[in-house]
Amino acid sequence: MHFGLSEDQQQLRDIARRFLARAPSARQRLEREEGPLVDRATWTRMVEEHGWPAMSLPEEAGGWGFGLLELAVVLEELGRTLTPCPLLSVALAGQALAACRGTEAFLERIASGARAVVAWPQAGWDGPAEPLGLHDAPEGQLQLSGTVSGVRGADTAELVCVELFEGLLVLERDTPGLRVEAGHSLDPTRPLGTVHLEAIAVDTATLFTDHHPVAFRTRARALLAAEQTGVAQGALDLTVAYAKVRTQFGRPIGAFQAVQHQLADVLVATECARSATWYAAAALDAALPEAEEAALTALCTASEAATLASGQAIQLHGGIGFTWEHDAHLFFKRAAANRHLLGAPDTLRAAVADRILGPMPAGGAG
Amino acid sequence: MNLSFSPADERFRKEVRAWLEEALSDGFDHLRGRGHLGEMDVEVEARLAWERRLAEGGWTCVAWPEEHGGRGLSLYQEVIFYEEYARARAPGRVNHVGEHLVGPTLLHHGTPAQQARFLPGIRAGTEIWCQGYSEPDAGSDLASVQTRAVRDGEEWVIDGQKVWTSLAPWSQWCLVLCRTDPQAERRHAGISCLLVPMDQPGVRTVPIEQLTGSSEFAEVFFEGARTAADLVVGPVNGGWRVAMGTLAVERGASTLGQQLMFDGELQRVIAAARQTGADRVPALRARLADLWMRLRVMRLNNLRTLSAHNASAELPPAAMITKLVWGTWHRDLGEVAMEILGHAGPELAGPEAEDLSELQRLYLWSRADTIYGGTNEIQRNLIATRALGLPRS
Repeated sequence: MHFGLSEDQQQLRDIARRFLARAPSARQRLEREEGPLVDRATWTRMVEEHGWPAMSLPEEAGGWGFGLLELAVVLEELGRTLTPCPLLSVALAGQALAACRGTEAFLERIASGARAVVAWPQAGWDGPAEPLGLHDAPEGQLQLSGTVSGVRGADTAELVCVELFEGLLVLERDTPGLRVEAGHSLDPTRPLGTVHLEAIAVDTATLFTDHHPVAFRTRARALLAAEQTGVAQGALDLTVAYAKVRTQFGRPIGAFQAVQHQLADVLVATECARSATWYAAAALDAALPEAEEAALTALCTASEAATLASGQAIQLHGGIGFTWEHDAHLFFKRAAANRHLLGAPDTLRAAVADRILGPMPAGGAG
Repeated sequence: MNLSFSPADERFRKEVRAWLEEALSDGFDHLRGRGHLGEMDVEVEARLAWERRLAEGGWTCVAWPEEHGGRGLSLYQEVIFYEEYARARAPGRVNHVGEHLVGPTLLHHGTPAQQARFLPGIRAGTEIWCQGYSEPDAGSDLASVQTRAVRDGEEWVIDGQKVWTSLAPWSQWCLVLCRTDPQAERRHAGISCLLVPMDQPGVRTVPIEQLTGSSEFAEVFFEGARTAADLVVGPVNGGWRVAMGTLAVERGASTLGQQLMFDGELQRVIAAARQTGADRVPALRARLADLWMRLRVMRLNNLRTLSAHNASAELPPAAMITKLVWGTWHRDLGEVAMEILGHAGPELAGPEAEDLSELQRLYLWSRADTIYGGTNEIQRNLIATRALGLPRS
């Protein structure tokens, strides 16, 4: 029994932390004069020096064969700094493709730095979204038409993996009929876009019918939970540092119990998020039967922690925390943008309730 | 990451499970699930017989070193023991204070003579201990204890009042935090830890009637009570460190057993929800799911802390949140339980205030969980100053 990071995993975390501390910050990238949000040199080093996109892909497809936990460790650090980078989207695509047979060629490209995204129609409060489906076209062709919005990282993706009723379809960016419209995000540190699919002639060679939507979401939730844990930790660090130096009434505000107790609650939430996330990732790596519930628990816990921590960052910074120039809102907005990506806490609690109590009978409360 | 116990540890688990099953079914079945927090004062004589049965089997003080009569269990085997104890629903221990507070204190700070005199009685379950720390004016601020101990020849003479002393009427001995130097410049200095016999004219116990209607705690009055001069643990006037050190000794192994008990309670709350129809109310479903998830996360936090202990690594901040998290969780469970009972919630089964169903008792008793052993407010102070490094207020 050992529930904690191994020495190698701690080293991975420390290396990531040192690298990200020196990389251009989210703030610097937002205030840049020109060029893309993601700093090219930084992303190149993430790919070539650190191997982050390759790390948790299978060795036979050019990866290193590490687990989801290693990826979670790095994603937590990225959540902490909010460094603009497409690793989360690329990792989700890598995990989706690695679960399907015959995807080695795509995985090798991802391992060597190709940007990929998964576009899935997002669920709303009224239930899961209607999946996109293929339809017949003249001359025995299969065609795809539809729109998927809110796709993180779509703007710069080379490979677009579209989740369909029939499976996962991988499209090259220059496929005729595929158009990515850059969107405008509440979260300025991570762009999103809309994928328009107009009468695309589908090549079934890149349609992977063994894609499993639930299994994909479980892995995706564990990884998103890692980023949300980092968002919580980053917001907490920022606020604690400020509470030690900001003086009012002749003493640091961190000496007041009204402030201390709020921060103690943020620490509790953040530590709970980290424990839950490590377990979800480790349970998936060990293929434990409770992995699905562990991932629901991790994302619910981590999203609540990120929202609490970033909201308290604004509150406890006072007026300065409400300004555009301060970083508090960047954490607050990332937490919000992540919160609904793979199920909001209320949705996740309802899903857990279905598991422990049985599903709600039709017609609602009796 | 390794999420399972070793084969040797799993064999140990089987051994514990088999022993407990056999021993409990040999005349102690009626005690299953009894005598825990909320009803520490029930079936005390029968539970004392169970303590002695445990001792005969060598299952008291399992974490103590072998030379002092323990089993010297590894941390994980200790965890397994408490998990199995909870799974078997074995009765609440009468000598909890002796085994987990006084014993470890004597092991760390006691003289060889004190160890030889007291450890065997604790291990055998024949001498029961209580804890004399809190006073009416020294609760969260424990260092302001006013109970005085003064030397008189070969004895200490003790005067003062302790409060919230559990199982005092059944105890033979009390570990008493006394002020032995009222002139000390720092109030943390001048405090000593004394071992005081309860059966003497100078000691009077008065049960405290709790809001649950039961009386698990007592006030203890020391009025010229006496104990031998050599029954001071650690240095005279150096008792604060001894007392605080003991609070830190607990390695957290028993908290995993406690969580299994919590899980049993949650399952019974869920069963009640099915009966009352609360399991079809979306808002209550969400609250139950929330409790279910938080209980699992609590276990993971504790496994993280235990793993760090086991590897002798630096303890994670998660180690400091245990009490706040479980106390709050249990109180929330109590609130959901009462909500689920619905209109039947206030109906008692009998004429006495303590004729409570399990869920009613849970609702009332769990208000104590966020107070004793360090209030939620004190826990947050500790987290803020020690884990976050914020300045003292």
